[in-house]
Amino acid sequence: MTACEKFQADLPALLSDEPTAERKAQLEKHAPSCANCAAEMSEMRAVWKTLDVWQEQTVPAPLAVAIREQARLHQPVTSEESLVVRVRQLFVQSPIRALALGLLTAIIATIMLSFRVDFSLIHPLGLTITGALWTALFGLVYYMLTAERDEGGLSWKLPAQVALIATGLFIAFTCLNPMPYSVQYCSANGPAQTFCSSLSRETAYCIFGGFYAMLPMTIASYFSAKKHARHNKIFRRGSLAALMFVLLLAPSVYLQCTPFAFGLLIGWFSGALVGAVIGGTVGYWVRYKFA
Amino acid sequence: MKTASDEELMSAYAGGNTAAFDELFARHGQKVYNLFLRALGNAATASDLTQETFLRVVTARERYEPARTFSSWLYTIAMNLLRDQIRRRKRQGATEDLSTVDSELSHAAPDEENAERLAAVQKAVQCLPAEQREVILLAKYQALSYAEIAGVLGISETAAKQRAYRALKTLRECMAREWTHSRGKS
Repeated sequence: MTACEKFQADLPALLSDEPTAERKAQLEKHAPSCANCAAEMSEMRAVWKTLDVWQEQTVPAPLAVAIREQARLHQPVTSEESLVVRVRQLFVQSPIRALALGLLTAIIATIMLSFRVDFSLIHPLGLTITGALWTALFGLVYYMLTAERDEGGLSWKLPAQVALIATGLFIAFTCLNPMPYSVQYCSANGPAQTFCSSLSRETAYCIFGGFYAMLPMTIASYFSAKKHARHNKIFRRGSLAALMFVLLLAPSVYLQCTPFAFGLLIGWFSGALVGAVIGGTVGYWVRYKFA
Repeated sequence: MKTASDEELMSAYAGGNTAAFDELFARHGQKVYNLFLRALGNAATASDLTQETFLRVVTARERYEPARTFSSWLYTIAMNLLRDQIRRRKRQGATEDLSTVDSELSHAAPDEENAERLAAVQKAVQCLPAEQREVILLAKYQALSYAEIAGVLGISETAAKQRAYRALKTLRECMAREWTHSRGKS
């Protein structure tokens, strides 16, 4: 970047007296040595100064009264009484508490799956490792959900929220109709019977896995997205949420595939990844476009 | 006596102190109202959006994170409402030129020369593309730093400065045109 380009880049900040005294001195030192930049600065200063003519107007009195009144109408309860505040305080930025909540969620999810999945086929060690992994993953996502925004403005809250909701929906769908049952049913009945029966089990798990991940992700991202989501961030946010969701999903996918059926596991997992990214992006996009 | 910061006032309000909200409104109410007024040129819409902005502050008080500056949070809410409003206007096919600007805006200038200059500034600001206009309004009239503007608009600080630079160039051209036009008339 040339000195002139640097000067132009900092010119707006210079006009609003933002740079440090040292930087300001550097910029002002450059101007006299460059006729173009000097002219530019003088013209921009004039434009900036001209904008001062647009003075502020006072808030209409009835509006001020109405706003103050509305604040009193929605008078907040004290922090001692507010359950929401207390729950937030309980979990905010505490890895231990997030992990405890993760353990609780993993236990509930495992109990729900136990109604549909035969855990006796899984080695106890595999089951223990899966439980520990699930606890850690849920704990991590809960921690992200309560973490403060970092200095760069990156917020993990929304993707974490979408991933948790989508996982909840996925487990609920699984309890209602486990995916292996759907694959079996479609291969033996219905209009897609010929197509489904022609697929290898791995391919069928990949396709069905994609749909089973796409549906909850679409619903979760649609309802969690902000209406004003910026168009250029839709894919990035959708993918980030999808990645978190697929990580949370992994232990349940493992539990539903019989051990050593790596082909099914990989097929399902890769299908879920693609489906989740599509679902996350579509949910955000629909909300942005039509809500 | 030490004056409470915006963030302390907001935390106090979230804890049940309504006097803290009055102080926050006294500090920021006029600025928010004028942001909408300058961006949309319509006093009635500016009033509605100001009320909506503070209603959102009230209803979202428990979600406020003290680590984030109150003004950034407030202007993020305001800019989102502003964008929604502009999008709604576009859908309804309304133009954004000064023919829609209330005549009461012009009352701010006491003499004729200033009135002409004010009209030229208003038209020039209105002729900016929306994304440049919002940066100029936040930097010039709301006195936010470019780091804060970047946070409010969800862009980088460099991008905010670039938009401001382009906006100033556009303003220079528009003002010159308006000025020549009004001189030609008189």
